[in-house]
Amino acid sequence: MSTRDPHSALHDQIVEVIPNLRAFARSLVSNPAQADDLVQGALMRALSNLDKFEEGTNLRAWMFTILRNLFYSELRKRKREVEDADGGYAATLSTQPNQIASLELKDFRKALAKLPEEQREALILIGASGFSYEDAANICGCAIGTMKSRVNRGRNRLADLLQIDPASDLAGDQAMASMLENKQALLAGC
Amino acid sequence: MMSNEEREKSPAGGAAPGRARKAPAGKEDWIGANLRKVYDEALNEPVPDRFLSILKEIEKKERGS
Repeated sequence: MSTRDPHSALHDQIVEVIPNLRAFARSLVSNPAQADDLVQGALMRALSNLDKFEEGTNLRAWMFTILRNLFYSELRKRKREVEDADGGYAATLSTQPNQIASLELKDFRKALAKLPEEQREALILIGASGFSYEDAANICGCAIGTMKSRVNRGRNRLADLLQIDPASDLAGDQAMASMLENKQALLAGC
Repeated sequence: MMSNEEREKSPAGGAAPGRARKAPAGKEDWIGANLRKVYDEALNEPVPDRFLSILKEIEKKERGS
Protein backbone atom coordinates (compact mmCIF):
# COMPACT_ATOMS: atom_id res chain seq x y z
CA MET A 1 0.00 0.00 0.00
CA SER A 2 1.45 3.37 -0.94
CA THR A 3 -0.67 5.56 1.30
CA ARG A 4 0.45 6.07 4.81
CA ASP A 5 -1.20 3.99 7.46
CA PRO A 6 -3.90 6.26 8.89
CA HIS A 7 -2.95 5.01 12.31
CA SER A 8 0.55 6.43 11.91
CA ALA A 9 -0.84 9.93 11.42
CA LEU A 10 -2.91 9.48 14.56
CA HIS A 11 0.16 8.18 16.35
CA ASP A 12 1.95 11.43 15.57
CA GLN A 13 -0.90 13.35 17.14
CA ILE A 14 -0.87 11.04 20.13
CA VAL A 15 2.83 11.74 20.66
CA GLU A 16 1.97 15.42 20.81
CA VAL A 17 -0.66 14.79 23.48
CA ILE A 18 1.67 12.79 25.74
CA PRO A 19 3.21 15.82 27.52
CA ASN A 20 -0.30 17.08 28.26
CA LEU A 21 -1.36 13.69 29.55
CA ARG A 22 1.66 13.62 31.84
CA ALA A 23 0.90 17.05 33.22
CA PHE A 24 -2.73 16.10 33.82
CA ALA A 25 -1.74 12.79 35.41
CA ARG A 26 0.59 14.68 37.75
CA SER A 27 -2.35 16.67 39.01
CA LEU A 28 -4.24 13.48 39.79
CA VAL A 29 -1.31 11.47 41.19
CA SER A 30 1.43 13.46 42.85
CA ASN A 31 4.10 10.76 42.68
CA PRO A 32 5.76 11.27 39.27
CA ALA A 33 6.52 7.58 38.70
CA GLN A 34 2.95 6.58 39.50
CA ALA A 35 1.67 9.39 37.32
CA ASP A 36 3.71 8.05 34.42
CA ASP A 37 2.39 4.55 35.02
CA LEU A 38 -1.06 6.02 34.69
CA VAL A 39 -0.03 7.73 31.45
CA GLN A 40 1.33 4.46 30.14
CA GLY A 41 -1.89 2.65 31.00
CA ALA A 42 -3.94 5.34 29.31
CA LEU A 43 -1.70 5.26 26.27
CA MET A 44 -2.08 1.50 25.88
CA ARG A 45 -5.82 1.79 26.32
CA ALA A 46 -6.05 4.57 23.75
CA LEU A 47 -3.97 2.65 21.24
CA SER A 48 -6.04 -0.48 21.55
CA ASN A 49 -9.22 1.55 21.16
CA LEU A 50 -8.10 3.79 18.32
CA ASP A 51 -10.91 2.50 16.12
CA LYS A 52 -13.35 4.02 18.61
CA PHE A 53 -11.86 7.48 18.23
CA GLU A 54 -13.96 9.61 15.93
CA GLU A 55 -11.70 11.32 13.47
CA GLY A 56 -12.03 15.09 13.60
CA THR A 57 -13.01 15.18 17.25
CA ASN A 58 -10.70 16.37 19.99
CA LEU A 59 -7.99 13.73 20.42
CA ARG A 60 -6.57 15.45 23.48
CA ALA A 61 -9.97 15.45 25.21
CA TRP A 62 -10.49 11.81 24.24
CA MET A 63 -7.17 10.77 25.74
CA PHE A 64 -7.73 12.85 28.87
CA THR A 65 -11.05 11.06 29.31
CA ILE A 66 -9.34 7.67 29.02
CA LEU A 67 -6.67 8.65 31.52
CA ARG A 68 -9.19 10.01 33.96
CA ASN A 69 -11.42 6.94 33.73
CA LEU A 70 -8.42 4.74 34.31
CA PHE A 71 -7.38 6.81 37.30
CA TYR A 72 -10.79 6.62 38.96
CA SER A 73 -11.25 2.93 38.29
CA GLU A 74 -7.86 2.23 39.85
CA LEU A 75 -8.65 4.55 42.72
CA ARG A 76 -11.87 2.68 43.42
CA LYS A 77 -10.02 -0.60 43.30
CA ARG A 78 -7.39 0.66 45.71
CA LYS A 79 -9.97 2.15 48.04
CA ARG A 80 -11.64 -1.21 48.27
CA GLU A 81 -8.33 -2.80 49.10
CA VAL A 82 -7.17 -0.27 51.66
CA GLU A 83 -9.69 1.86 53.42
CA ASP A 84 -7.36 4.81 53.68
CA ALA A 85 -9.09 8.13 53.69
CA ASP A 86 -6.04 10.34 53.92
CA GLY A 87 -3.44 8.36 52.05
CA GLY A 88 -4.21 10.06 48.78
CA TYR A 89 -2.62 12.83 46.83
CA ALA A 90 -1.54 15.05 49.68
CA ALA A 91 0.23 12.24 51.55
CA THR A 92 2.58 11.52 48.65
CA LEU A 93 3.45 15.14 47.96
CA SER A 94 6.77 14.87 49.74
CA THR A 95 7.99 12.52 47.02
CA GLN A 96 7.99 15.30 44.46
CA PRO A 97 11.37 15.57 42.76
CA ASN A 98 13.52 18.53 43.52
CA GLN A 99 12.06 21.39 41.65
CA ILE A 100 13.35 24.83 41.12
CA ALA A 101 10.24 26.12 42.71
CA SER A 102 9.85 29.24 44.68
CA LEU A 103 8.54 28.94 48.18
CA GLU A 104 5.23 30.39 47.11
CA LEU A 105 4.80 27.79 44.40
CA LYS A 106 5.45 25.10 47.00
CA ASP A 107 2.77 26.61 49.18
CA PHE A 108 0.47 26.75 46.23
CA ARG A 109 1.12 23.11 45.41
CA LYS A 110 0.42 22.11 49.00
CA ALA A 111 -2.84 24.01 49.00
CA LEU A 112 -3.81 22.48 45.65
CA ALA A 113 -3.13 19.03 47.07
CA LYS A 114 -5.63 19.67 49.85
CA LEU A 115 -8.51 20.15 47.46
CA PRO A 116 -10.91 17.32 46.72
CA GLU A 117 -9.90 15.52 43.52
CA GLU A 118 -12.82 16.79 41.51
CA GLN A 119 -12.03 20.41 42.31
CA ARG A 120 -8.34 19.97 41.61
CA GLU A 121 -8.93 18.35 38.25
CA ALA A 122 -11.51 20.98 37.33
CA LEU A 123 -9.02 23.76 38.09
CA ILE A 124 -6.28 22.05 36.10
CA LEU A 125 -8.48 21.25 33.11
CA ILE A 126 -9.95 24.74 32.90
CA GLY A 127 -7.23 26.88 34.40
CA ALA A 128 -4.10 25.19 33.09
CA SER A 129 -4.68 22.81 30.22
CA GLY A 130 -6.93 25.24 28.44
CA PHE A 131 -10.02 23.12 27.89
CA SER A 132 -13.37 24.77 27.43
CA TYR A 133 -15.97 24.18 30.13
CA GLU A 134 -17.80 22.01 27.65
CA ASP A 135 -14.78 19.79 26.94
CA ALA A 136 -13.88 19.59 30.61
CA ALA A 137 -17.45 18.61 31.49
CA ASN A 138 -17.30 15.89 28.84
CA ILE A 139 -13.98 14.62 30.14
CA CYS A 140 -15.34 14.42 33.67
CA GLY A 141 -18.77 13.17 32.67
CA CYS A 142 -20.61 15.98 34.40
CA ALA A 143 -22.76 18.96 33.49
CA ILE A 144 -21.17 22.25 32.48
CA GLY A 145 -22.75 23.92 35.49
CA THR A 146 -21.21 21.31 37.77
CA MET A 147 -17.81 21.98 36.23
CA LYS A 148 -18.21 25.70 36.81
CA SER A 149 -19.16 25.25 40.42
CA ARG A 150 -16.20 22.92 40.99
CA VAL A 151 -13.88 25.55 39.55
CA ASN A 152 -15.43 28.25 41.70
CA ARG A 153 -15.35 26.19 44.86
CA GLY A 154 -11.78 25.13 44.12
CA ARG A 155 -10.69 28.72 43.62
CA ASN A 156 -12.38 29.90 46.76
CA ARG A 157 -10.88 27.08 48.77
CA LEU A 158 -7.42 27.86 47.40
CA ALA A 159 -7.85 31.52 48.21
CA ASP A 160 -8.87 30.53 51.75
CA LEU A 161 -5.94 28.18 52.21
CA LEU A 162 -3.44 30.67 50.85
CA GLN A 163 -5.11 33.63 52.49
CA ILE A 164 -5.15 35.62 49.33
CA ASP A 165 -6.60 39.04 49.53
CA PRO A 166 -9.93 38.56 47.81
CA ALA A 167 -9.75 42.10 46.45
CA SER A 168 -6.88 41.22 44.14
CA ASP A 169 -8.21 37.89 43.07
CA LEU A 170 -11.97 38.02 42.99
CA ALA A 171 -11.85 40.87 40.52
CA GLY A 172 -10.64 38.38 37.97
CA ASP A 173 -13.17 35.84 39.13
CA GLN A 174 -16.01 38.21 38.69
CA ALA A 175 -14.94 39.11 35.18
CA MET A 176 -14.70 35.40 34.47
CA ALA A 177 -18.12 34.76 36.00
CA SER A 178 -19.82 37.30 33.79
CA MET A 179 -18.01 35.90 30.78
CA LEU A 180 -19.24 32.45 31.72
CA GLU A 181 -22.78 33.65 32.13
CA ASN A 182 -22.68 34.92 28.59
CA LYS A 183 -21.39 31.61 27.40
CA GLN A 184 -24.01 29.72 29.34
CA ALA A 185 -26.71 31.85 27.80
CA LEU A 186 -25.35 30.93 24.39
CA LEU A 187 -25.22 27.26 25.27
CA ALA A 188 -28.71 27.31 26.73
CA GLY A 189 -29.97 28.55 23.41
CA CYS A 190 -28.99 25.40 21.59
CA MET B 1 0.32 38.01 53.91
CA MET B 2 2.22 38.42 50.70
CA SER B 3 2.14 41.58 48.68
CA ASN B 4 1.56 41.38 44.99
CA GLU B 5 5.12 42.48 44.37
CA GLU B 6 6.34 39.43 46.24
CA ARG B 7 4.07 37.20 44.26
CA GLU B 8 5.45 38.58 41.05
CA LYS B 9 8.98 37.58 41.90
CA SER B 10 8.62 33.88 41.29
CA PRO B 11 10.23 32.58 38.13
CA ALA B 12 7.81 32.58 35.23
CA GLY B 13 8.63 29.03 34.22
CA GLY B 14 8.10 27.75 30.70
CA ALA B 15 4.72 29.00 29.71
CA ALA B 16 3.09 27.39 26.72
CA PRO B 17 2.91 29.50 23.59
CA GLY B 18 -0.08 31.72 23.19
CA ARG B 19 -0.51 32.36 26.87
CA ALA B 20 -0.22 35.75 28.44
CA ARG B 21 2.96 35.49 30.44
CA LYS B 22 2.45 38.24 32.87
CA ALA B 23 -0.32 40.58 33.79
CA PRO B 24 0.39 43.88 35.45
CA ALA B 25 0.84 43.52 39.20
CA GLY B 26 -2.29 43.93 41.26
CA LYS B 27 -4.98 42.62 38.98
CA GLU B 28 -3.18 39.47 38.01
CA ASP B 29 -5.05 36.22 38.37
CA TRP B 30 -2.61 34.78 40.83
CA ILE B 31 -4.32 31.41 41.21
CA GLY B 32 -4.56 30.98 37.44
CA ALA B 33 -0.91 31.86 36.99
CA ASN B 34 0.18 29.33 39.58
CA LEU B 35 -2.07 26.61 38.18
CA ARG B 36 -0.35 27.09 34.84
CA LYS B 37 3.08 27.04 36.48
CA VAL B 38 2.33 23.73 38.18
CA TYR B 39 0.97 22.29 34.96
CA ASP B 40 3.65 23.67 32.67
CA GLU B 41 6.40 22.32 34.85
CA ALA B 42 5.27 18.77 34.09
CA LEU B 43 4.30 19.65 30.53
CA ASN B 44 7.79 20.83 29.68
CA GLU B 45 9.57 17.77 30.97
CA PRO B 46 11.08 15.61 28.23
CA VAL B 47 8.88 12.65 27.34
CA PRO B 48 10.39 9.38 28.60
CA ASP B 49 11.48 6.98 25.88
CA ARG B 50 9.22 4.25 27.13
CA PHE B 51 6.16 6.04 25.81
CA LEU B 52 7.64 6.49 22.39
CA SER B 53 8.76 2.88 22.25
CA ILE B 54 5.21 1.70 22.97
CA LEU B 55 4.07 3.57 19.88
CA LYS B 56 6.96 2.34 17.78
CA GLU B 57 6.31 -1.25 18.75
CA ILE B 58 2.66 -1.00 17.80
CA GLU B 59 3.52 0.56 14.46
CA LYS B 60 6.00 -2.23 13.82
CA LYS B 61 3.37 -4.84 14.61
CA GLU B 62 0.85 -3.19 12.32
CA ARG B 63 3.31 -3.01 9.47
CA GLY B 64 4.33 -6.60 10.02
CA SER B 65 0.84 -8.00 9.85
